Amino acid sequence: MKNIFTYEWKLFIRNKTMPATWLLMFGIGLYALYYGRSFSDTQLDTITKIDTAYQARIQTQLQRFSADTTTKEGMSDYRNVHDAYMNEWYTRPMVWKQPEGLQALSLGQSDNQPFYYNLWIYNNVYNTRQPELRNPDKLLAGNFDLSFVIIYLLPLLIIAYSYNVVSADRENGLAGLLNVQGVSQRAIVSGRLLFRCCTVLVLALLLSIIGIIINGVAMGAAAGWLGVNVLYILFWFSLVYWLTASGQSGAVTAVKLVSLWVVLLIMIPSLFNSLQKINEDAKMEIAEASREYGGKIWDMDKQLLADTFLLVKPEWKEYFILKNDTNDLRSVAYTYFTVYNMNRVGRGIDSAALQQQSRLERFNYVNPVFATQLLYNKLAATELNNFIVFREAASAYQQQRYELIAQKELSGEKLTPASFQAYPKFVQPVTGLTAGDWFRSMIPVMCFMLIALLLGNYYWKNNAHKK
Amino acid sequence: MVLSTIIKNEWRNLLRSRIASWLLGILFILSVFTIWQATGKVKESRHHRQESAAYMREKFTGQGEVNPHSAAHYGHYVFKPVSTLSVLDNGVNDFTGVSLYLEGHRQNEAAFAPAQSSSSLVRFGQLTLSLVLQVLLPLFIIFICHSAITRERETRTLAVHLAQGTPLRTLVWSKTIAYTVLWIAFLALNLAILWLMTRSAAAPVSTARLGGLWLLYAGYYFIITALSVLVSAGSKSSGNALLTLLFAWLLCTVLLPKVTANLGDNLSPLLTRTELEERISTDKKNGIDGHNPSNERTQQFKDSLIKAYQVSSPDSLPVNLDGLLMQEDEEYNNIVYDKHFGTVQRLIKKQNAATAVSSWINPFAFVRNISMALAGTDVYHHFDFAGQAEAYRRVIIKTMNEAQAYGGSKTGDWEWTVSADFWKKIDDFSYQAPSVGQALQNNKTEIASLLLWVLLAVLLIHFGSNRLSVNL
Repeated sequence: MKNIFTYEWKLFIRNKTMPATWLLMFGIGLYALYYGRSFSDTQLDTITKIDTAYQARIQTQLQRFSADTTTKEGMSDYRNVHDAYMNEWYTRPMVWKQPEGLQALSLGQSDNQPFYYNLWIYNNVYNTRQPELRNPDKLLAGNFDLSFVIIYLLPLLIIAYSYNVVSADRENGLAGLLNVQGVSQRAIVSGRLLFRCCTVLVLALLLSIIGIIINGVAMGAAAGWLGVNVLYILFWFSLVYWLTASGQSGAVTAVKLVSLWVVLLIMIPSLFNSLQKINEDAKMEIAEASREYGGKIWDMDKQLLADTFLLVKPEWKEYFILKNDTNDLRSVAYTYFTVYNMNRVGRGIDSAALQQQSRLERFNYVNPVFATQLLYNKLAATELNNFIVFREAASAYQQQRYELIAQKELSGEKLTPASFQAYPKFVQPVTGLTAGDWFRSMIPVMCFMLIALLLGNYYWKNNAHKK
Repeated sequence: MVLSTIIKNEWRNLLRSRIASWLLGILFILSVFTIWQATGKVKESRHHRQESAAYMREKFTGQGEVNPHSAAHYGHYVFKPVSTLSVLDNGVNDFTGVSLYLEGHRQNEAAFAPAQSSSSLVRFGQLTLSLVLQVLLPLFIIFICHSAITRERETRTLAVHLAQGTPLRTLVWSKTIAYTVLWIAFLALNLAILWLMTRSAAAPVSTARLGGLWLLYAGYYFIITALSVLVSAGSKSSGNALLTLLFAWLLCTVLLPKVTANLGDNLSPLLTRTELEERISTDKKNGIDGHNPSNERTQQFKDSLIKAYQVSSPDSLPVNLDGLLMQEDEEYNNIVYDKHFGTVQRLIKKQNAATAVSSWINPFAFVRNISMALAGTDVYHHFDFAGQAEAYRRVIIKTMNEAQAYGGSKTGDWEWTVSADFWKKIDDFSYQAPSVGQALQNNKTEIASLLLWVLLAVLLIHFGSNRLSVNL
């Protein structure tokens, strides 16, 4: 093995193409890291701006508690800040999904999902019709992040390095010499593949470690990421081991490997994507909820609206008895029912999307590349489910604030600086993966790898006499 | 040997090759499958949107006696019609919204893009006919044509051809024609199947667009075939030719599209949503030039009304001032929205220019962009829909504001309502897709590069073939 590695190393150094392609891929990988980082930086920049503006609004509101009531403007500020509902309008609470360090390495759906919400009572997270501005052509082309380099481009490097791992000897006239020396061709090929595998692994791990360091990724997530790199590269080398075992010419093996690349990276994922069902009815329902309920509820008889509200919120009856202002009652009940309906519909849509994702994951046994991409995204918290969890948390937080404000509004309780500052804070939901999740996600890739190795061994045994 | 003999011979060889027949058969089955599957999806999608549009129209016209301004807040939804040719090329449809909420005071964008309800699988693309025609068939062409000349060299028949007085140019021309004719026939067959399967669709396929697609792909296949045969003629072995062509295919279909799209994004970054909203809000408040605050504008408008109606105060106006003020505000907001959404669209166009320019070096770029344009699924068709929907919004909001102003209500009377049949008098929204000529207006660079690539291929075969080293 040592001799093979020494020979391979010399070959790698002498052959200008191999180091050049390695360096080219390294450069491409660095660009991908830069691209991912700049995307995350833009998001962080947006978050900073949102946070700064939000904090400034909170400070302004706090100052209004001691506004000069001798002026007309000061009087209005003073009155509004003590009114929980008006205070919420001026505060316009914002929540955002803090990007994980690994996001810069695997952007997933993060350019296609809202990452912050304005939680003013009348807004609804499920009806945020306008997420960040994006160019649809760019979304179609996809992101040039490190996961793209590893998933799409490294297999091509592997193919370029290894397609002639068997045939090169024959074409150089070395096969006969090696046979005479009684060296097992299988051992030589395995050694060579192992060396080439190491060169690709070094490349992938080096790029990943650079990405992990510059983005300050946590240890657990980093280990998970590196583990996926190793398995995915081994998976491709096992396919090479299988397809080179037939001992056919380099060109034929290259055609087979490229065809396999096309099948695994283009045909199978795109076929599953075409077969997924997008339920347009669900979207219609949220449009309906937004347009229809709003109008219907607002136009309801005020007494009927209050009575209906008390049926679902009997614990608030005492407030209603206290309250004489029917406009306030209407406003609270309207918000409750509108938000309730929108959340119900929205959660239904998200739940259907999650079910679809989980159905798709069942097919990962025939779609190993998507399984890998999915795991990268989950580690980076950029998959659909991560955004849905964030959306749910934002919605729950909005509901929590609404209940508090509505109670104050109906009970006539004036807001004070202390009670305003004691408002609950938004807690980022945790969507980390366990080691078990990681392992289960990689089973399809490992199965493929095992099958390829077994087939490779089978062909090596059966075709030994031909080589 | 005459040109026609070589062509016939080439066809015979191809038909005898079991691998080629199998691969072509698989591609054909795959393309028929994609047409069948996409036809079903398009039909279902169209049905949903038509139903939704009809439902929303019913809600809009049946809202009864309501205050027009309340109705402006309830708003109305319009739905983007599905292009029948999205069966062939789904373009950016997964990433653009399908419905648009029209309301008073603000311009919205189309919402609920299908990709937002999908996992990252959506980023792998869909298995559509365009994928077969743009990516897989060219790969098949490479597999078949890489050995067009090298095979003759390896079997020593090239020397025989040359000895018989057949120049290499004739050989290259014959093989290019022989294969191109096959791919064009394959394409025609697919388009005919598509036409047959979508014949009964609510919006039949436009013949001009279908014809344009046939010409586009025919040109694309001619270029790929000619280049493959030329590479084969210039290579020492079939293996070398194949590897060179595979590398070019990967570069053109996988790497370059992503690189150029990302480059465009880096060179002309879009505003963030918060920046856009801040700018719109500032312009609404302070005026588009920063020196025309909204309260001053309102006062000037009130003064002009007092003067026009020759009354002493706004209260004496014979019309409802609220309606007129709201319309005046709408008119100003429209200018603000046109300015800012115009900027966003210009930035997107600028970003896409990187991909358009890349078509000078990458044939896949022009075929992808022109194909989307002809199928009516590119971003410019989306802008066109959004533009028409916005024009409709302005009409309905103006109608509502004018009803409030001149309908007989008094200023400050928000309980006043229009009659129930008022809503039926407002025309329904009907999207008119642009003509082929208009659709291709944004693809001038791509069309020019297509023509240049065809010309280049012809010139290379005609003047370059005989200069290639024969390497007998």
